[in-house]
Amino acid sequence: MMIDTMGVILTATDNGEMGELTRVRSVAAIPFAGRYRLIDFVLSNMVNGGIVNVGVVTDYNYQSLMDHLGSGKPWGLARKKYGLKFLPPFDNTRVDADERLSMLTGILHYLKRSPQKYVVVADCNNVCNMPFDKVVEYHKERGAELTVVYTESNEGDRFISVDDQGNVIGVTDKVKGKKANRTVGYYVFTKDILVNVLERCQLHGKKDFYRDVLGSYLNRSKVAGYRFDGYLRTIVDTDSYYEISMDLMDTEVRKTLFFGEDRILTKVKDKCPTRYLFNADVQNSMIADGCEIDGTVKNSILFRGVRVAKGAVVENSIVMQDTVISENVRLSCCIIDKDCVILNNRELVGQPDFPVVVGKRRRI
Amino acid sequence: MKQKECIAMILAGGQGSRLGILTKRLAKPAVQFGGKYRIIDFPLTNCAQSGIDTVGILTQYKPLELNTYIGNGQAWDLDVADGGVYILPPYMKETAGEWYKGTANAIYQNIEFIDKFNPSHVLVLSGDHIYKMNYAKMLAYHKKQEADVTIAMIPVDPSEASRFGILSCDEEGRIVSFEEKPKVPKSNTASMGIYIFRWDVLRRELIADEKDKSSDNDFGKNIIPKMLRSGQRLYGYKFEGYWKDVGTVASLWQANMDLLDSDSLNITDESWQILSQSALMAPHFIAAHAKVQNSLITEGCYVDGDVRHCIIFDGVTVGKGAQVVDSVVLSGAKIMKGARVVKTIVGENAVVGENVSVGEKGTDEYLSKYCTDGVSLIGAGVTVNKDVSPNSMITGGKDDD
Repeated sequence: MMIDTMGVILTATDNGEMGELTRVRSVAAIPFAGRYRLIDFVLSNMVNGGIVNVGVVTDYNYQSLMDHLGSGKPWGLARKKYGLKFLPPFDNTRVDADERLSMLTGILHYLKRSPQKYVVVADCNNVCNMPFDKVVEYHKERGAELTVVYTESNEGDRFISVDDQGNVIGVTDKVKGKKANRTVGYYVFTKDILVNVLERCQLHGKKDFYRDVLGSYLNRSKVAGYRFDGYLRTIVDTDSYYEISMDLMDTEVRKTLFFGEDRILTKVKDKCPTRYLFNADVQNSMIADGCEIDGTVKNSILFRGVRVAKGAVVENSIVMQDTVISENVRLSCCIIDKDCVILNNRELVGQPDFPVVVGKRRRI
Repeated sequence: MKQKECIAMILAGGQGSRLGILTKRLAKPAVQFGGKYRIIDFPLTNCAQSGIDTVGILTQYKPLELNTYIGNGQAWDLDVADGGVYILPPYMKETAGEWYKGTANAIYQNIEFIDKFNPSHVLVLSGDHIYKMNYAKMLAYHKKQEADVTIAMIPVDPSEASRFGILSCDEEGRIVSFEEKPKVPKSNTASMGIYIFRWDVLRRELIADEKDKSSDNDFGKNIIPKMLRSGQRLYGYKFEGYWKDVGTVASLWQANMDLLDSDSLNITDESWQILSQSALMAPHFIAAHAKVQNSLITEGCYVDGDVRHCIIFDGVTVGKGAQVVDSVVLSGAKIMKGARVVKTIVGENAVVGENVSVGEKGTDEYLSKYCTDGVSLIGAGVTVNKDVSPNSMITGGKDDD
C-alpha cells in the first residue's frame, strides 16, 4: 500500500471526436477489449501501484461510469478509510478554463483535505499496464515537484524535450512523421505545491493547463520526465479506438496488457462461459464470456453476451455487450455498440480506416 | 439480534474419496465444474437467489482451498451486515475437541452459532450437489404444511435407488416411510439431502440424538427415522429439474458433458445466474489454426488447436495442431502442440506434452479403479510425457496414491 500518494482521474478528456461511442457515456466508460472500460486501465494502474485514495473527477454523462465503478469493490476501493470518491462538478469548478484546469480547480477542497503528500493526476483514455508506484518512486528519487510521464511516439499532440539527466526542459512542437517525447496525460505532483499553483491560476484568471500549470513549473522548478517504454496508446477518436482494438490481435500486446504480474481489474458480471455451437468457425478473435456463437468470426472482438447466429459472418469487427447478430448477416470493419440487433441478411461493410459505427440499442 | 426466518447450514466436510486425485488437495464442494464454477457455487447461488443471507459452511476435510474460495462471501452477495457467510470448522471446547462425527453431529456442534441468529427455520444442505433450486418455495411449502421437517425429494433411476434415502408420502405429502440406503428400495423417490427444520424441533432432536450413544449422529440414518417413528410432521417436497450428486470421476465428467448435450441445467439463464468467484482474466483468444465447436470456453484461454465437445476452464492453453475431444480441461492446464486428449479430465495446471496421446491408444500403466466408462484423469500440476490409456488416472510423484 502506498499511503502517501493519492490518485485523481480526469474523466472528461473528450475532444468531441469519439462520435457515437460517447453519445451515451463519457470517454472513461467506453467499452474496450471485450470486458473492460477505458477507465479500468488507469484505475488498475493506480490500485496495482498501491494507491488507496482515488478521486474520479466527472463532468458529464457519468451515469454509466458510476454504474460501472459502483462502490469500487472490484478494485479493492470499497474501504472504510479513503477508497473511491466520485467528484462531480462543484461550485468552484471554473467554466472559463480548459477541461483539465477547471476539473482540478473544482476539486481543490478534496486535494487540500486529503492527507497524502503526492498526487497522481491521470487522464482516462490510455491503454497501458503501468503500475504507478514506479513513477512515484522515481518522482521521490528525483526530488521533483512534478514528474511528467512520456513515451516515444509519432502520434498525439503534446511533446516535451528532455535533457540527458531526465529533466524536462521545454515543450516542443511535433515534427511530422518523426518520433518525439509525447506526454501521455499521467503526472505526479507534490500536492501542496500543486494546490498553490492551482490557487494562483484561479486568482490570476489563468485558463490553460499546459501553458499555465505545466508552464509555471517549467519556469521555476525541477520537472522530471519519466519515460515509459512499454505498450501505451491513447484513444482519441473512433479511428484510434478501432486501430488500438485491433492491436489486441497481437499476442505480445495481450501479454503485456493482461497477463503480467499486475492484472487489469474490472467489474465482474458472472456471465457463463462462451458456448460454441456446431457451425462455429472462429479464428484470430478475442471472445468474452457469455457469448453464443454458431456463425463465422474472424479477426474480431466479441464482448460479453454477444450472439452470432448460423450463417452470419463477422470480420474485422468489434461487437459490444449483448448485441445480437442474426442469421446470414455480414459485418466487415464495424463497431457495433451494446444491445443492438442486426436483423437477418443485413450487410454492413466499413473500411479499416473508416469503420462503420452503430450506436447503442439500434435495430438494423 | 432480530430473528431470522431461515438460515442455511451447508455440509461441506466430505472428502468425496471416489473422485480420486481430484479431491487429493481439496474437499468435494471445491471441485471445479462447468468451465468457471466450483460445485459449492450451486448451493450458494441457490441461497443468494432464494433470499437466504445467512449461511454457515461446515468444513472438515482439507478446507484451505474452499475457505480461500469463499472468502467473505462477496461473490454471492453474502457480505452483509446482519448475516453473511461463516466457515465453521470443528473447534476445541473446554474439556475436549472433536471432529464432526456425522452430519447431525456437525450441526449439533454449532447449536450456539445458530442460536445467535435465533432463526425460525434451518435449511440443512449438502455442499456437493449440482442443481438450481428456489429454497424460498420450499420454505413456503414447509410453513403451509406446518411441518416439523420438510425433505426435498426427486425420482431417481431405480437401479441407483439403493444409494439414497428412499421415502414415500401420502396424498397430502406427509411422509409415511423413510429408509436410508435400503437394499431393496420400495420406490424410486429419493431424499436429496435437503431439509428444512423448525429450529426448536431440530435443536431438541439434536440434543437427544447426541445423548444416544448408539447413534451414528446422521440425519438420514438417525434423526429422520426417529422423528418419523415418534409421529412428528414430516413432509416431502417434490423437486423437478436437474440434480446431480457427482460421486465419481465418470459422473463428474458426465455432468460436465450434460452442459453441452442437454438444456436440463441451463447455466445461461440470467434470471438464475450462477454466481462464482471469478478469475478476472482477459477474454479468451481463438488463434489462427483453431477449430472450436460444441464447447464451452471461458476467460484467459488461448486456443490454437482443434477443440470439440469440451469444457475449457480459465487460463487454459491449447497449442497448434493439438486435438481435444470430449474432455474437461481445468484451470491453467496446457495441452501442448500436436497432443491428443480424448475423454479426459485434465487437472488444474497439468501439462500434456507435445504429441502425447491421452485417453486413446495409450499404455495401460495407469488404469484406475476410480476412472470408469473410459474416462481418464490427469492430476493437478502433473506433466504427462507418455501416452495414456482410457480409464487411467495419472498422479504426480511417488507419494501420491
